[in-house]
Amino acid sequence: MYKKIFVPVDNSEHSVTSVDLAVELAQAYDAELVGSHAYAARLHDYRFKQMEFTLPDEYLIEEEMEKQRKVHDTLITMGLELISDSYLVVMQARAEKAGLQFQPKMYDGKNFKVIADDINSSDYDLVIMGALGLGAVKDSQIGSVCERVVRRTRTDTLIIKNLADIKDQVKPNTNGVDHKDGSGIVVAVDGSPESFAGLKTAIQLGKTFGKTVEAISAYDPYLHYAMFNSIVHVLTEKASKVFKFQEQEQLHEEVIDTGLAKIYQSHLEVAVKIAEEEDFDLKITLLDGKAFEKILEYVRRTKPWLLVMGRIGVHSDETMDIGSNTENLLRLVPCNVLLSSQRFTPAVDVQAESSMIWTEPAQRILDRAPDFAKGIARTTVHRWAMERGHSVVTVSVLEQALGTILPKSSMMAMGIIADDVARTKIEAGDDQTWVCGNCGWVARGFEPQKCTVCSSPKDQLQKLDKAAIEGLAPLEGAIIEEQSFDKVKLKYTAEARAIVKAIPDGYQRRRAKAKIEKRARVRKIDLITRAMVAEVVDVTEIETLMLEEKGELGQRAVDAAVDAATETERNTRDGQYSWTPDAVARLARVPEGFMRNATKRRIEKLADTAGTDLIDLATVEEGVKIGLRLMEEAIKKKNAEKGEDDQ
Amino acid sequence: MAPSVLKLEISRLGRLMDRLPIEDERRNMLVAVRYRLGLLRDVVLGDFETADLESCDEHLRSAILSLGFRPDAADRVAVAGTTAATGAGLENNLDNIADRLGYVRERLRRLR
Repeated sequence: MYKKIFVPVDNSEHSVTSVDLAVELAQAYDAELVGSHAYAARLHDYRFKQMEFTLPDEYLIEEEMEKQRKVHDTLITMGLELISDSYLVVMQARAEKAGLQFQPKMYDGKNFKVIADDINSSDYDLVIMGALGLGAVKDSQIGSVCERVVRRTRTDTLIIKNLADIKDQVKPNTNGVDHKDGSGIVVAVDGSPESFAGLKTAIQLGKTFGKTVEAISAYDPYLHYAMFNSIVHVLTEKASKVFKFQEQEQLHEEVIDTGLAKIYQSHLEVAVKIAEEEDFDLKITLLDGKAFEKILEYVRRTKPWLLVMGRIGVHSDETMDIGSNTENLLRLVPCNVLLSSQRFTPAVDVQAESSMIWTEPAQRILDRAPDFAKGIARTTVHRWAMERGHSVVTVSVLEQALGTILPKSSMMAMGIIADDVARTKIEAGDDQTWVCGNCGWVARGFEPQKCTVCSSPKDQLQKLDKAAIEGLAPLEGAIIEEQSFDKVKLKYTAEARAIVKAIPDGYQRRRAKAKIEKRARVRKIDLITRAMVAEVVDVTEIETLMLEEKGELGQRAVDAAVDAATETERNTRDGQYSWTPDAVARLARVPEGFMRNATKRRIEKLADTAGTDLIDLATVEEGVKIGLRLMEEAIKKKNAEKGEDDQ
Repeated sequence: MAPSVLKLEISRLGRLMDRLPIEDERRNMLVAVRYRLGLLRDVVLGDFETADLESCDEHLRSAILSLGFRPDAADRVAVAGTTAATGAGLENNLDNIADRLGYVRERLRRLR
């Protein structure tokens, strides 16, 4: 878990216990130890000079003063270093005895500042330091160095308050979830990522040292009563009416107070799930009242070995140095404290299942989904709702959440698109139909501005004009009814029907006919014209052969017609262009990235110039050839410029 | 495994789409499913090591949801009659596709 543990030492009792615990943890997690001591040599030097005038008269003689200054200089420059060294030698000996890697550090400067700077510029994942230093007195709660370092750093910090023998402190507690004196771990969970990270750390520590872990959460239902009572005394009668005080109070009682309990209970339930994932048994306790006060009471009563808290709470701004509850508890609790600065956000599904409520209508809509989609829909809605701070899923939330990923047709199928949308769609009629050239999405009854599936712009949407297609029919002879492969009757113009009939091979003819009819039905066109047949077969070639020799069509024409159909089927549609397979393969040989993209654009331009949307191998070859030529020219030009520069 | 299943399902969806008349509400649903699977296929065929598995999951979720919340039989427009391709056969096909996509999603989730 921890790989590099940092301990600032000062030879105080708290510091010695910090080293002891650091050794225990480093052994457990095979971590490296770093010890440091800060001494303020310059400050001492300055102070000494300030106090020189207070020396007895015998020192205030020129030679004597110089001598004393030299003695003091030696003390400052070497003595403090020696003292620091001796502090660290103790830690080094402990580390070596335990077979641990140790790195000593000494710095000259204001202690809290140099320590914080070192922590912030190093990769320590845990800092262990004493709550109090050498200057502590009877009523000291927390030392200034400890407090200032905690405020200035963002690394997990374990603050030592318990000075009992460390072997006793880290002993397993075997009495189930009930704490023996100084044995278990309590984690304060408030739903913040810091507190959940603290929980995970506590679970690991619990596993390592065989300790029980208990998650507690405190919510304050009384704050709102206090707020309302203070407001009611200052409001005028008129203002009270505007404020609707009684209604507000009732709302707060019913929603906020009960809601708060649910929210904090849900944090604990999420904590249990996190522990279950770690295969760890976690006791949970919900407390009501002022958070720091209730937690303090609980800790005083249960006497855990360690209290774990997030450095900042769920309501804190991320830029805050320390949360107010954490700050109070850090000062007041009698046990060791671990401030978690790491962040862990439980899977949204886990959080949502514990906290999200569905209204009956929303639940009814969800129940319409088949089993395979129900869970996914629920997760999707939960994620969307939680990201926006909802705690209740209504139909409106459901509609907006699923609307981000479901097409309108599915939304209507679920009955979660408002009736007026459906009505507008029906009233608009089917006169206009647009098909997306990229993905095939169809819009009927309105003119879309873009494809709702792939977001292709309007120019990629092709309008199907039934009237124009059907208007060609009278020019192509009589209308003849034909039965499709699945026994549906469709109409052909005489010309279109003759071309289809002219395909000699029975199998190929049926194949081409089925394809033409399928296209017509997809577009909801009842009448098949010559132009529609031409989309599938090479009409010109077949017609030429028909004219040449009635009833004696050569195999070549049939092959051509079939090949045309097969090739069309194999082509790849890319935007407005249709690429033949060999064209696609050739383009794929061009180096990926800028070169391929530029070549592709050039080829599409060539197709535009030729007035076709079909891109075949020849077009690609031409585009590649132009590209190579341009590249050669560019290289020549660059070489020429380089030659000029060299001269 | 995933690219093969996706390619198979994309071509299957294409065939199913072709069988449906343009005004059938299920057609756009199939378009959306096919489009999402196309995006997913591009991801898994690309540099999968660096692929964003969250976006893969989103594509699959969207596809499965679209298949799950499909228009009811009563809403469908019966053009050219109901055949095995557009009736119960299609429904079974769509359920099977959803099952297979669910399987792919489950496998991908294990990689996350």
